Amino acid sequence: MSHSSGGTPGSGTPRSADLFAGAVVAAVAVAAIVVSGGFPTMAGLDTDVGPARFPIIYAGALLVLSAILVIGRLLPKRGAPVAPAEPQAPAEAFRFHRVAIGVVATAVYIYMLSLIGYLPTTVVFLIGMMRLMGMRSWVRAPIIAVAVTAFLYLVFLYALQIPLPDGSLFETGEF
Amino acid sequence: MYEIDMLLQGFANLASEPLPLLLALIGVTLGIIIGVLPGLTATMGVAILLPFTFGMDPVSAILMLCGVFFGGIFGGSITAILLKIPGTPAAAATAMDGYALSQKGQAGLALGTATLSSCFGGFLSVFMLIFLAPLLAGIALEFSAAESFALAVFGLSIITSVSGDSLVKGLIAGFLGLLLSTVGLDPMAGFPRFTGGFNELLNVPFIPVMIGLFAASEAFKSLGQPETRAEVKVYIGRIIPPWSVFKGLIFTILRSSGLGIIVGIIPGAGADIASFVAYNEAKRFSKNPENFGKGEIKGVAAAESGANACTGGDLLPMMTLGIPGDAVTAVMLGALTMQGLQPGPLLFKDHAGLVFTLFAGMLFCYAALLIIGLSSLRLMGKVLEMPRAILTPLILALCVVGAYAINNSMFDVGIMLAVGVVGFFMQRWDYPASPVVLALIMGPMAEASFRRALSLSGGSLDFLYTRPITLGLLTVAVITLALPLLRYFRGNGGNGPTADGAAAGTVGSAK
Repeated sequence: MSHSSGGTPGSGTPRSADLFAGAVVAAVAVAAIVVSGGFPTMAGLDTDVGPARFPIIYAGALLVLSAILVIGRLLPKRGAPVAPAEPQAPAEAFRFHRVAIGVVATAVYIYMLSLIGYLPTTVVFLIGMMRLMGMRSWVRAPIIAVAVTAFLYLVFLYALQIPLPDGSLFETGEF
Repeated sequence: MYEIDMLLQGFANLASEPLPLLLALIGVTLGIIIGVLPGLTATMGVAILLPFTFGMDPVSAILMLCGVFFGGIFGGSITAILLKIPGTPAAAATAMDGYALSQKGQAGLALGTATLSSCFGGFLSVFMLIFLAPLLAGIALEFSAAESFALAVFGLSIITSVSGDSLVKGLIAGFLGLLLSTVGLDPMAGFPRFTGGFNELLNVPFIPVMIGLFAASEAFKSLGQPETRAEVKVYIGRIIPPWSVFKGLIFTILRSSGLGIIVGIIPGAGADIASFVAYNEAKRFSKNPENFGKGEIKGVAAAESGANACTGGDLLPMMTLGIPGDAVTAVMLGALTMQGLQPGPLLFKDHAGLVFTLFAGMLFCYAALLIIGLSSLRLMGKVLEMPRAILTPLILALCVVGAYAINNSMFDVGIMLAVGVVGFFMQRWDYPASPVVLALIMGPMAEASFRRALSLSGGSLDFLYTRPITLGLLTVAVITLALPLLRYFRGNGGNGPTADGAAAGTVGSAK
């Protein structure tokens, strides 16, 4: 994302982010209205408004709200002629690249979970994330990762009776 | 008296089956730990532990989550007092005097008073719940589709009060939630909407959405923040306040608890508002208001009893009417639904024994909070030292495993991740999460009730103004919606959203 990576989340939104979000919301709303147009009308029940009415109302409201958001950010604010372009300099920068790596790693973890199962993937995922978060020790990270993985596995399997995925590669087919 | 008899029966049920009590104890302990860790809220705690309760019986599951809820609200006060870091937003008022007392070497007194006040407020609120809930449920039993629709609209109108600093963004979040609530089978004809051919979307996977929104998004946010570890080097001293001190706090605690209960019942207002209202009133009633903020023990007592008295008030509309007033009760409502129990008046009619067993368990939770709270205060400094490098990966793994465990479905895990990413950007760009969840719950209720009411009235919209309760609820909903809108347009000149608010934390997600 192109927005400033400074500051903690929630400490002010860049204008570009508001404009981008407004455009995304409007696109979602338009898509919902278009798709809803294909829903059947309730020919059998005269008193019903049909399955399309409510989604169209909600999407219409979203269109109006996104327009207010975008127009509001494009117009200068009354009583605030000179707005600071950037939020105050934060004490420590928000590391957006770590979030991006974390999201991708989680997505890969989820994919591998279905492929090679819970136990190996969770250990590797936890070690990787701990390293990403700045844990230096190559001894502590694996020990904690194995302990947490085993604990969750045992809790789900024995206490909650919910088996975690074995992975499709290791499943034995029955013929 | 019916309520007392049922409550005693509830205690007897719990005594005969101690597992729920054990799980409530675990819940309270986990809740305190979650509350102590800055950045983790009671809502997140309940959302992340929800999948763990899936295989449990309803009483055990709900009591464990109640323990997390109550403990989470209280736990925030420990860091507020020791470090001036409110573990949860509800503890911000406690920090003002609690930290000042810590600096004077009276951290123990502040912590002990906070624990006693929290439990006292919590006890009173649960008692209020026990006596008011059956009454309210009895009234709500008379509701037909028209009243249910009005109730849902009223529930949705709360979105404006949980919108944080930007009303437009709150409303966008709410309407996105409403649009999302239409995914799946249409409530009248059973027509599949926006499912894209995925059978998994015939019902919105509600729990994975909540895990993504409240837990995964927070973990992603944490990934981007540099490691910060708190150093706790505070002299704690005596914890239980002497009677001579506590005697002077009783009236403050009683008044603050009453205020907390009232604030809790008002949908949209949560523990953070309750604690500040109680704090302000304590200051107004005080003979020495100038002492507040400088280490006044009454400030700690008022804020804590107010915040915890809010919990019972919060649960009242959720359990009796099926309307969650904020994010944490929305997640609790999800927990009840997951257990096959539909919150609302019928819950009291069809499962009265279970409801009163839950009430008895809630009283037990507060007793447990008192004991665990007082005995663990010195240990909580250690919890604070838990590095984010361990905590964040653990939360992410719990999100993934928890989302999977609900339906043994990787599709649900994918939904959780997608919502987590969206939730992260919502946080960064000041979109509150609570309206999404409120809308997801109230949206289907509003649509189904409206369409049913329309069918019953033969296609006429008369039911909107000919039925007094419907008209009354819709009027209150319009007022609830209109007031913030008026304030918004007056304050902002209709010139766009206040997107640059400094602290866009939402009320609803503040627990």
